[in-house]
Amino acid sequence: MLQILKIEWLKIKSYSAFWWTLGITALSYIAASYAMVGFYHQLSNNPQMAKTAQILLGNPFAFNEVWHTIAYISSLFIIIPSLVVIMLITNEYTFKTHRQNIIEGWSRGQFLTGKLLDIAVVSLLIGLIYVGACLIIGSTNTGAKDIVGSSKTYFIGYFFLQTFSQLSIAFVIGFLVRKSFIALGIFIFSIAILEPMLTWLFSKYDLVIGHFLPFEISDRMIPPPAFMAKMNPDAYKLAMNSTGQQVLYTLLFSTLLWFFCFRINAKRDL
Amino acid sequence: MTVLEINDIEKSYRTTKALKGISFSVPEGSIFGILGPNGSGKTTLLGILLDVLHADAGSFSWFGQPSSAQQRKQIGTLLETPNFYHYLSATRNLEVTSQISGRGDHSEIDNILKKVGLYERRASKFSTYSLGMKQRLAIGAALLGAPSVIVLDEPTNGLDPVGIAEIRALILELKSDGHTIILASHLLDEVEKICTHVAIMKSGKLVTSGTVEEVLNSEDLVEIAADNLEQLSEVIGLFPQLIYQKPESQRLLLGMQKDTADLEAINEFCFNKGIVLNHLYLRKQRLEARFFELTQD
Repeated sequence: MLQILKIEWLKIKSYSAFWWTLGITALSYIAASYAMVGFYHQLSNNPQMAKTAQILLGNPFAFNEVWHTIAYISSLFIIIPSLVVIMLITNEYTFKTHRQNIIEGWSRGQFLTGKLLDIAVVSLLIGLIYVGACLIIGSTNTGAKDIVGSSKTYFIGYFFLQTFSQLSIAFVIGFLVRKSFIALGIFIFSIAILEPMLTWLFSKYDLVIGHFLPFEISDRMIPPPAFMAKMNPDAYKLAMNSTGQQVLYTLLFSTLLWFFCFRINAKRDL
Repeated sequence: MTVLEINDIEKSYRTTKALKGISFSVPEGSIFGILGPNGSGKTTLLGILLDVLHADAGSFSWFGQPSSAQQRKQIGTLLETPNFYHYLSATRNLEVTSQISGRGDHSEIDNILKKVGLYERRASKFSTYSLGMKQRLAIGAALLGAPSVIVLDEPTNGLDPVGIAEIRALILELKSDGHTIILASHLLDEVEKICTHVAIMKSGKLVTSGTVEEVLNSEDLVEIAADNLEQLSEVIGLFPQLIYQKPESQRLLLGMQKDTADLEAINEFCFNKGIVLNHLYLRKQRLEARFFELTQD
């Protein structure tokens, strides 16, 4: 496993597009969170709005709520690291190195294990960016009245799992389609148009299948934060109570996704 | 000892049958040429042998064992095109090859790059290389760690005449060091110059295989000529060992059973029938001619 990781590192370390995209991801996650923090401060510093804002929003950027709030905001930007993942797999097809790696002595399983590790590492890096953003934003926004503890740090695990699951979907699209631009187009269409449309449609007709759509499964691990749920506290409570269940579904879904990739890769011509 | 044994391999792409029961074996220490026109199935066959394609039927073994990833590490391969990471330099690309295959180390990478004439450009990105340089790097990757078996699919693609001569010399040097080389090529002249064994394929079928001598000398070819070619053709038609005759410019080309072409007997036979030959020559068959004979309908 370490040897595979070392080889993947050799492939990636001089790949400037990878580092640029990862840098943009970090920037976008931090910038989006800070934009929301700025908006919140604008409201809470306005004498006419302060009281209402305090009642409606609470302090979403203070510990412990910050883990939930930043996880939710950051998860909206999954498209950017997905670009990295799609490039990592489609490059192999473009350069035909997916064949060369096998010819040189990797098994087909080892090749895919390398990609699985890439996605795990990218998810981990994104997770670290998220943790860093939470620590900075949380420590600068927590007041004496806020309750500090570790009660919502489980969102670190949820955020990692959600990132891993959604990047795995990006990988599968790249793996099946093989062309970077087409794969990216399909990914963006799925996450931004198709799935929200289907989710809305299924929920309109009260069909539970809408909870099991590829992105929705892991999205439900991180429901909208408390301040956004003030309109419907019961729905928020229900969503928060079912996050544990969604973790299991996400794990199962991701496992099946990778199992499917390994099976296809073992059988198809390269 | 046999390095590679292929038994009845078949492969189809939808309705097209690309390989129709290919069987042959590659002896250790040989330079084994796989010849065939475009679309004959050479690269498909090599792709199956290197696990990038799956055969529909049949089997093969490397070093007497069923194929495995571990075995492929002992085989240096250039298949179809040079496949490298475009954003990496030659050195970094060979590092990836070395790490995957376990062949060669850092100092050997430099030596290989010197051998294939890329040392000065070792730090340049692969995407900046010319076609010939890419091909040289692919040959370098195949040679890394001096594997016992080297598979080269069209190794002289994109090379200039000097490069072609260098690769030919390199292959001969590798053979003298005891390597087994499997070489798929269109360049019949090259194959004839360096191969010890050949397999000729056509439309997914194996037409013939064996040592170059065996494949070339399936029959003796004799050129004859006289003032009256028509009369000569009638007379020589009665010669006992003759298989066929065909006109060729101002001569007749005679195909005779292998090892039966006796020039003295032919001359005497014609003279006794009242014909004086003005040309009599035992032609050594060229691989190119044999190839066309075997692969053209």
